[in-house]
Amino acid sequence: MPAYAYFPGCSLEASAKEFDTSFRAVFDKIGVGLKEIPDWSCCGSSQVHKVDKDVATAIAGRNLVLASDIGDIVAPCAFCSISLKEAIIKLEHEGPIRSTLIEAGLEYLPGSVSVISAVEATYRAVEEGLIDGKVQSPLTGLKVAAYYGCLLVRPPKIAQFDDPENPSSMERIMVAVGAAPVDWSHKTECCGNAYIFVNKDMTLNLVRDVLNAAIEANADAVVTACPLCQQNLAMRQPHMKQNYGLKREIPVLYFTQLMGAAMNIDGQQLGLSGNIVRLINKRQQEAKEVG
Amino acid sequence: MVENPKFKIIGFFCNWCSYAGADLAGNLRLTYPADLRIARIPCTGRMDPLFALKALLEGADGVMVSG
Amino acid sequence: MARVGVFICHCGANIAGKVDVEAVSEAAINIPGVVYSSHQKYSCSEAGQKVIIDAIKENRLDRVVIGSCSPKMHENTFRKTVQQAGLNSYMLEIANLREHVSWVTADKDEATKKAMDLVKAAVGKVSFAKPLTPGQVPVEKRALVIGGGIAGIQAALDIADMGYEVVMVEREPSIGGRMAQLDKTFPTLDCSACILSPRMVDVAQHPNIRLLTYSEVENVNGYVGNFNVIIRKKARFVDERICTGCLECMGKCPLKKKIPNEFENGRAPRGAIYVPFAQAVPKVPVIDKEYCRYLLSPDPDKVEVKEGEKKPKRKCGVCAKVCTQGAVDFNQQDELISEKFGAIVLATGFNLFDHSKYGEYGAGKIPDVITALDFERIVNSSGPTEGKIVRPSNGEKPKRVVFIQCVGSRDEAKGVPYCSRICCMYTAKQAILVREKLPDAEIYVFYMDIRAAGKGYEEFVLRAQREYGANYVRGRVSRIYESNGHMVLKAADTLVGMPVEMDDVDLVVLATGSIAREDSVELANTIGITTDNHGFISEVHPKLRPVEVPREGVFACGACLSPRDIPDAVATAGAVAAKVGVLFSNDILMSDPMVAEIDPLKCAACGACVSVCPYSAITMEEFRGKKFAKVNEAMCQGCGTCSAACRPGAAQLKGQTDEQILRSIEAVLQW
Repeated sequence: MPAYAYFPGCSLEASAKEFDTSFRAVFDKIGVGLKEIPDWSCCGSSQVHKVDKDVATAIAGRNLVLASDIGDIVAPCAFCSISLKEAIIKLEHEGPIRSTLIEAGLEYLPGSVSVISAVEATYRAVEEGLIDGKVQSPLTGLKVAAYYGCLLVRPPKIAQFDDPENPSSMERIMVAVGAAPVDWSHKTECCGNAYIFVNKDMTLNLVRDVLNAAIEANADAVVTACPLCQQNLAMRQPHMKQNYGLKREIPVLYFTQLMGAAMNIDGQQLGLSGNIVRLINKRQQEAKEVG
Repeated sequence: MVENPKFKIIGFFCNWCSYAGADLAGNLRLTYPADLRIARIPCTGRMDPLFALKALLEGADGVMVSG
Repeated sequence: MARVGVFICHCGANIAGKVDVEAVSEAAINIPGVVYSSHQKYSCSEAGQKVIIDAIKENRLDRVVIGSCSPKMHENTFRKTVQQAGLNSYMLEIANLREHVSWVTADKDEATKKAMDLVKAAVGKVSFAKPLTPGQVPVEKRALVIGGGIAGIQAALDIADMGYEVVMVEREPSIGGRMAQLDKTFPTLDCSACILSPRMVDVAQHPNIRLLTYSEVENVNGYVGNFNVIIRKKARFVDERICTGCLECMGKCPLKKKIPNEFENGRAPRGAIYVPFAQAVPKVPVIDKEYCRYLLSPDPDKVEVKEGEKKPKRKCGVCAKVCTQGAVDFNQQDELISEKFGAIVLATGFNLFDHSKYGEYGAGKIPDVITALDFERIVNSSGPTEGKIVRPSNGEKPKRVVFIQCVGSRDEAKGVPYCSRICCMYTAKQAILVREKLPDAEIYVFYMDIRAAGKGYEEFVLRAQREYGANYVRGRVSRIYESNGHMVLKAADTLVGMPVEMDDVDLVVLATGSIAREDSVELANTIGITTDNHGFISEVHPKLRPVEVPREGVFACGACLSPRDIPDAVATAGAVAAKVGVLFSNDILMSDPMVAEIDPLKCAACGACVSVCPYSAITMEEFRGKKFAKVNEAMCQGCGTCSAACRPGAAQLKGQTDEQILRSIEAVLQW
């Protein structure tokens, strides 16, 4: 059984708990082991790298060293995976930071570990045929808009995965579980989350543009792989119809939640109840409209 | 170890690539240690192992073949 | 005993600034064999050369060492110098004191010591030099021109007009190349076909030119003046000698209008039997065997037929039935033609960047995002829309047209780092053509910088802006997506420092950059030359020898060297013709005497040299029962691999013998 060193990161411990549980459940089902990195710490993104980039690299480096005994790291959160990937590139050339790590009893050996995101790990599993036969309830007829946001496939030199402007890996995964991905325009546009406290108006305009584009493309749901995108796109919807011209509410889910549903994994484990806009059964909705 | 040791390294460089590359290093004014003495050979195919042995027997500190 | 003279050049301050030339010159006199030593300001100058000549004569020198710049720079100059003094020109050795010493060494003392060592090595080597005489080879005064675009056409016509025979090989069914696909040309707005077609006809009618279309070069052997080339003439299935060009067959092909026509960049269809465009030269159709129903159906003679069953019949064959001349010949096979040439001209042209790498511009999937070459066909009156500018998605006239420059060019992340040189100009031209055909359309051009260096070019771009009302916006477009039957475009205006968002865009034209032909590296390997890291053919010297390539007798012109416009392609074609003319003005050529020779008395006939020779220049011979290896001097390229492989030391490379190299090693380390 192949195994990854699992790096949940802070979001998956709290606001994105359902990403964590659904990802673990799906990988358990397809037989790919996830061993949580013991005593993992902050990935070095968010505030740290704005204050001191070297400290951020060192913090990320600590996690890399801790994981090196287990195997390659899978870090579901887009920020975590990019932060750790960037650290690998930097540590290759940054002797002083490596020395600092050694002083702390952590020897980093370049090339000893690599990092991938949850989408990357799942994409590989799909390509290797690991989900074949695991899809018991294919999501036939469900139209999904795969949303990548800013960091999942960018910057390309660090992400080193998929096309930075027109990615298609999540679509491939959605097809594998029977859903129908829509071709739409805003899959790599900014969701605006980073500016919610600075310029709320701008953020909400960006959220509206992304969601309306998905709605115009006739999507039933938006799937994402970033805790911050999911949170931002989902939780602001209830207030946006009136003031921001959101056409209607649309569920925003982690791609792993939909995969889990297709594999008949228990809804509790998938955390479907945690989603702010719930995925309404299409037929129910149609019935409502008729009624 | 002596500080700043001076070596004599005999280089056998292919006329078409490395020798031209060494010329280019000159054109770009890239400095490198003066220990290397480059001999121009028409192709590394010309590189007879005897040349390397001869250089080492005559006291060269190293032999560099490039092509 | 050898009498060696040493001459150290100051090269102004280039060498003397770092190397103590006087000390080197004084020390040189103590090297065994040296009887004279001096130093000059510039050895390559007329005065410097005179000093060398006089010193050789006065001191009865028989060998010369010159400590100067790289032998790649002035070896030939100094060979002539020593020859003028009466010595064999190969009794010379250059010590590279500039590129390998003064320009690369920081410390003066170390530089001086290294210079002394290199002079010793040169003296050691020259001590064993022997006089060499160049061989003579006749020149085959026929030229092969590969590629029938405007560059190839110009080169072929110029060479043929000098009175030499030319064979032109073109891969496509017709000559004409990229220029034939263009509508108008900048900055004069001449109709491209109108100025090109007469040249194409000239090629076809020129008594000295033989045209081989639908053909490719398979193999090149030999050397300057004597190339042996194998050309594959692909089966056309139409006999060129009989076909009258009535094109009756094309109208009857059941696949007509079913196959995308490459000439129209896939924007208009063709049949399985077709000429790519109306002015094609030769006006003889080809049958595309990938599509033709007759050729794809099984051959009745090769199908096993059971008793009682009928033999299957070939499908279709309509073209053969309608041809009154009987020119259609389904049994035609590829033909391999072997020809001898004295010179080869490469004019294989360029390709265009594939914009599917630009996901932000729809990755090639948005129908109304087209390339500039698509636009050329669309705006051309013999193109797919008969010259009407329409949106491919719905055939309607566009109201808002946006041009985006530098798609693929100057983009290190997704494309190539270089500037494609022609895009600023053709974009301005296309903006003008939009205005001429659609007086009410809004025209926007997004650019990074305008590069309009050429006669009348800057004025042309200004005219596009001022007279034709094209709105130039400086900035990159970051995103295009479809919305409500139009497109939305997001960009930055870097002069104002503001983001731009444009709705209701109807047509986007991408100025895709020029790239090398995808098989240029393969072709270069076939011919034995090199390309740069982008696949363009490398010239010997970008400034002083811009149309010669590192294999003697091979020349290149046009956009296979680097992106360029028509005037530059034509100018380089003329330059190539002049170079070929210079070559062909010789009846015989001197061959490099630094080739291998094998002493039959020492040869043990082991055959090691035969197996290692990369040029198949060594064969086994027999004389009175004794076997020995023999070098074909015309084929030997002087690599010396045989010499390294030869155990008895029978194979020696002239000018680079074992003795010479071993002595120079000894000289550096022991003297």
